[in-house]
Amino acid sequence: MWFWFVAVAAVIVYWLWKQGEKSKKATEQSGRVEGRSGDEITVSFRISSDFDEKRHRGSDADWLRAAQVRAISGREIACGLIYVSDSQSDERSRWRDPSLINTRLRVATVAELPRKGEIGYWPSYAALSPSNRACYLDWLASGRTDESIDTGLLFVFFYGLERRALDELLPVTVWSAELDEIRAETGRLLALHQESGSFQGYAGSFLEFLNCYEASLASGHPELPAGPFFRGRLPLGLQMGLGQFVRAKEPIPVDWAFVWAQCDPSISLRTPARRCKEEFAKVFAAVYHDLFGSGLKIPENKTLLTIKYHPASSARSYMMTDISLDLPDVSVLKKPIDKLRNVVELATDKLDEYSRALGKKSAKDLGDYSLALLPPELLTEGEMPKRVKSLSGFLAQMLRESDRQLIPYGKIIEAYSAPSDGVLSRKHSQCISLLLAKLGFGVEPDIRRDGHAPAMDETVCVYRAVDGDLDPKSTAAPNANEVLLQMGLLLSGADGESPEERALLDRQMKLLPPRNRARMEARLCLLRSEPKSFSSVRRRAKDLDGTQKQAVASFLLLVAAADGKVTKAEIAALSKLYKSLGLDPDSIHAELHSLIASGQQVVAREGDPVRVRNERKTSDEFGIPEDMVDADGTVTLDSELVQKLQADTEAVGVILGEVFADDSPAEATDDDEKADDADDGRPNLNQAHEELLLELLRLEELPRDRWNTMCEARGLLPEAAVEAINEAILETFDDRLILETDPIIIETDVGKLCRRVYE
Amino acid sequence: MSEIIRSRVRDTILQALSAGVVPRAGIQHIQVGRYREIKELLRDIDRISDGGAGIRFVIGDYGSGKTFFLNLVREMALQRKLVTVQADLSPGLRLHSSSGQSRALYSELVRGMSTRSRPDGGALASVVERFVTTAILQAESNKCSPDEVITSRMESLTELVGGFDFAAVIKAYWEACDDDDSERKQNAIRWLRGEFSTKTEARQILGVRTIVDDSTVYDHLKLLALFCRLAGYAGLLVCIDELVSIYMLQNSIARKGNFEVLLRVVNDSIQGNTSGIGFVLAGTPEFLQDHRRGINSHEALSSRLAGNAFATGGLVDFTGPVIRLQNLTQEDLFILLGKVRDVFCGGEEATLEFPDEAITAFMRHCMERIGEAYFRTPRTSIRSFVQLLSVLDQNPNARWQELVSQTEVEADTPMALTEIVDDESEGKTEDDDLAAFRL
Repeated sequence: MWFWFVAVAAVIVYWLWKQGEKSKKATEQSGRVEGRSGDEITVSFRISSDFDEKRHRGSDADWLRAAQVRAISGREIACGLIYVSDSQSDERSRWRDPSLINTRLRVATVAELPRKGEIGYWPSYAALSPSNRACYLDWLASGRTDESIDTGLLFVFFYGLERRALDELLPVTVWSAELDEIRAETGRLLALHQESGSFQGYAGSFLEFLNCYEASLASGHPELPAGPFFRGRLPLGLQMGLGQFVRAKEPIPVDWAFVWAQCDPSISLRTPARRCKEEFAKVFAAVYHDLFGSGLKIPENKTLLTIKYHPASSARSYMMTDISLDLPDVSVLKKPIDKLRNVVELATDKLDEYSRALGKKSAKDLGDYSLALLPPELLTEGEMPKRVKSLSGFLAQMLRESDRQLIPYGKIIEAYSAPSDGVLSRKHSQCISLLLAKLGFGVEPDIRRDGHAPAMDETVCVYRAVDGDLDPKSTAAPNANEVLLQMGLLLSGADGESPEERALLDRQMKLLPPRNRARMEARLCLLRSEPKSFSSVRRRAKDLDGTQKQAVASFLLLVAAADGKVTKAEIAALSKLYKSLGLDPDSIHAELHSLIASGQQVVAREGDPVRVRNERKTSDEFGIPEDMVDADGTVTLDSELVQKLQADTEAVGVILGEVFADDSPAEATDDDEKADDADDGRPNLNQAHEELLLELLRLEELPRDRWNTMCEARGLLPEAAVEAINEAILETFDDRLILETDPIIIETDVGKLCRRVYE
Repeated sequence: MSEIIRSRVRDTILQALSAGVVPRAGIQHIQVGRYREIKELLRDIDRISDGGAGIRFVIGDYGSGKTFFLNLVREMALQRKLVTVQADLSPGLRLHSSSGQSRALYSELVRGMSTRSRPDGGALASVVERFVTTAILQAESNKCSPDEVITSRMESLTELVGGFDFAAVIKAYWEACDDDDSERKQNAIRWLRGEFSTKTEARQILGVRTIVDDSTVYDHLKLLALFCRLAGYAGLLVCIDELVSIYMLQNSIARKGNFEVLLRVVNDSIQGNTSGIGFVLAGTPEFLQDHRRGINSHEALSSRLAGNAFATGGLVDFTGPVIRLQNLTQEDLFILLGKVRDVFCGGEEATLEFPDEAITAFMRHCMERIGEAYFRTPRTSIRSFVQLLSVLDQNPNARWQELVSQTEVEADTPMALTEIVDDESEGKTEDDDLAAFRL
């Protein structure tokens, strides 16, 4: 019994299963479009659909092409694209085809728009009230141009387009004219009914699906789908095109990348990108080119692209239409998205300042000056706004013959744009300075660095910047070489700059990196025309370290002494600068003297610019000149210098040897006797002096009185006698005999020599 | 192998060095470098000997060797048979004043008068007697009275300011010699030394109407120079140190007065108004360069001392009146210490074992103790060095390696210069801007 019961149940289940299989006939189509040449892109596709054909095939509905005319309920419908049936079986086929117009159904004479909620979420012609049907048919008869048509009625019409395209025309291997009609009508309605979000969503997707389908049939390079684009959803055409580029190993063009970045759900666009859309697109392109050249190259991935479409029709709402393309699906890749996100971030950052300026209330005040905040990418020759272009032209004209030019600040403002309220604020000056920098020029003084806003009638120096703008933040910190040069110029200007001083400054200038040099030359040019007060450098000098200050001071001394004279004005200027450096002005004289006295050595050191090391580790870092004294306090002698000094000392020895020589020629005086004593080696003395000498030699030491007596006895003057004897002995023995005169004391050694010659 | 140095000279040098002062004799044995400066000064001396004139400002910082250089020049001048006078300026000794400081300077200079045979000063009487002796000899040969010879020879002096009285005093000296009147001789010497303070006294004692006073110091120096040449010397070299005293004068008029005297000297030297006289003046850089109180504050003088405008960029010109001395370097000191060692050994074969490495070790030791000052202001380093050599010499068993590290060295710091407040009432000063006033 139980056996038979189980067997019957199994048979029933099998029968039911077989029935289900039969009713569900899956539609599968595949195709291949092959390119004619190697550079064309080949796409294979397979379309699958879950559509239940049976539910529709039973209908006797007629499809009217776009040009077909049909009269329905007294209305002539001339533009077709609808299903019409007069079959009784289709009369109440609400779930079979919601768009089908069954002529058997009653239509009111007075058309009436549906009330709110009257139609419901799943509208269908059959379910409409007669007055609504009249309204719908009137709309169709009027060429479907009325923008105020109810969205529900619009969808009733749209369901027909879906059915015709998806159920009856597709799949195709060659795009047909009828599909074109349907696509064109969809596009027209989309443009007409932009207010309806749901229609835009469904119809937009439908249109995109058709486009994509057509693209999959076509060969050649993909075309960028037309907008509008919505963030969070990648257009199918875009995905397909990207896949085609990847397959062909071609870089992604910038416009494709931009659309991708805009639509990708994982990339969020910050305010600058949304506020300044045009500028953002340009900056994005510039950054994209900078980073990836002709475009981002993506290696092919294995995941294939599947394009899906959810029909809007109630009869097909749960049925998915897929197109599986033989193309890589790049939307699943993370790396390209990360790269695009990076580009977006960079581009957004560049626009940040400009966007903020536009967003602030003060944007009105800045006016044209906010253009200065644009990134340099938007200030290139081809991109720059008109006003900026005129300013750039003016400056180029000014600097036609030289790299820097002194002009009143007001001229620059005139060449650009006068502030809206006529008052030039600090913000305006900052913008002008920034704008000049971005255009490849510079201005001194630069408010961004010095904090000084030039007045309209103030003379400034514009110059051609080298290697781009200097980051004002980095140059705001004191640069020892700049302080050195400015101080040097102030000093040299104290008594009028001499050619030697100028040459010294120019030589020092070479130490600066090119772009700093351009700025410094402009600054010096300005300072030369209008000397500034010392307070301008005092602030910058404060932050130098001790070694730097000393090096700057050394340079200043060189400048002061460069022209061979140190004037009162220079000393006064030096004193002020020393005070600015925190050094003792009293040491100036000694140091200056040391410099001048060192003569040749200083000149040798002068040949090299004074080098100071910047505190910050930057490219313009210089070493301190080596000193003779090592840092650890040990003594290192310069052997070359020692040899030179020794040679010098020997030369001095030769000179002094001649002066102090034993055999120095005795200059004959009038009263000298001309007796030649060379033979006996005796001193050249007359008889009286000789007697006196001999007596002295006998006594060795004697009181002064006795000496006087001895001299008187010989008719000699005592002092003159000492002088005469010493002179003669000096000539002979190169030393004095009488050392002391009161009492008379003689040199023992010389005394012995004398005795020897007289013995 | 260095030359042999007499023990007396050696002792003089070493005693002076160990006392921290510049030796008065034998200075040539320890001279290091400065070839061009010495050559230039020697040329000056020769010019003076030939009847020319010259002036040099030796400018150097503390410890740069100004006094050393001055003494060397003085010794060279003595060797060339010049008479030298020397003194240091101080608050009481000035080139210009109205309270006797200039006369005091003159007295100090003449007291320090030296000749080759009397290099230690006090040679005035020798010079005068030499003149008189030569006059006597000339009179004997000409068979006339010495009086006549002296009168005729002194005629050239009488053309100069105060020359007549100067000649009268010299004649008085001769007469005193002739009469054996030692008191009168002393008075004549006193007059020549500028020690008479009143004209009355001079007239009563010597019968002359003038004396050496503050306003005639320079004129009497010129007279002395001429007289020295008449006495048979080559000329007179005036060495004045510590010119910074002028810079330290608080009173601007007093400073100006001193600069005016210097200007006269410079002008005379440049223009050739004087003969047989030379000046060597030593001062610090402030004295020369300071535009408020130094020479540069005096336009006329400053312009005459300005360097050669073409002597730049490696070219040097030593013919200008200013000679600048640089402080010593380590290398200078190394050679100097080597020379001191040689002097210590008396120029003979080294009996003392003190090689160059020992000198370097000594320098390193000094460097560690007092830093760079040991060679920039080497006075104390050299003193310690000489003391070290003495210890080594007297203790043959001692080793330099052990002693060097034990040597005491003190930093040589210059005395703080104090402003010289002038108590003279020379009128209102320019610097008294902040003087109190009352309405």
